[in-house]
Amino acid sequence: MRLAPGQRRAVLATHLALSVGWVGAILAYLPFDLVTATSDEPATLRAAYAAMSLIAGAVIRPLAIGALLTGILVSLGTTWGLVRHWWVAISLVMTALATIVLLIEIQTIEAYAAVAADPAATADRLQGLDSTLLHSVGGLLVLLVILVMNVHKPRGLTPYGWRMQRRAAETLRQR
Amino acid sequence: MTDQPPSDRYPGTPGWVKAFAVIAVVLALLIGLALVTGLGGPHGPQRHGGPLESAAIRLASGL
Repeated sequence: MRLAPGQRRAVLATHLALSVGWVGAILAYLPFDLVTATSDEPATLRAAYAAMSLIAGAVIRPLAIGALLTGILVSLGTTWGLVRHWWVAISLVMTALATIVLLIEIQTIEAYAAVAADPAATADRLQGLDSTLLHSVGGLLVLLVILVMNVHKPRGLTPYGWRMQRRAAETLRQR
Repeated sequence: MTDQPPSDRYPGTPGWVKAFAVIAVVLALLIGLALVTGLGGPHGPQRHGGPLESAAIRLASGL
């Protein structure tokens, strides 16, 4: 499957917007996460968990799924392929893992937000809720590594990519 | 034994991929260790269960 040049540019632009948006959304999420890790004030904790749940569920989740799907589409629709180049294959695996961890973590964040939204929840109960700082900082680092790798595109064909390249070269020689 | 010309052989996995693989294995082991030993804390939505929920679960399971 090869995308036409116009389609390729449109999908690539969408993929870039979603991927960079994902990084930006985590940066917007981080201050609230930091607040839940450092504050003991019940009203602050309630507001922070509510904001975290909204950002994670309504912004980060669709951005992550969209970035993963458009990334697969861009790879399959161009000569890069999904597993021909190491940087593409590694980016795919890291994005898929980050998305899976995110989808699991969102359940936890939504559960925390439900507790925080409960007027009967005591201060002790709110202060007992964890922060998700380790996951959000870890996720941000993973996305930044993917971003740097996608900009630099380090050389290296996978064994499959090397066979495909050789086969294409032989076909050209025979013509 | 005859050697194949270099162009007919896969040039090998690049060094940066090997370095990536080593880091990935070390991180996976650390995460696995944290999950097994409980150092990473409980995972999933059940970890928001406070003392009341924990007490209710213990009562329900007869502990």
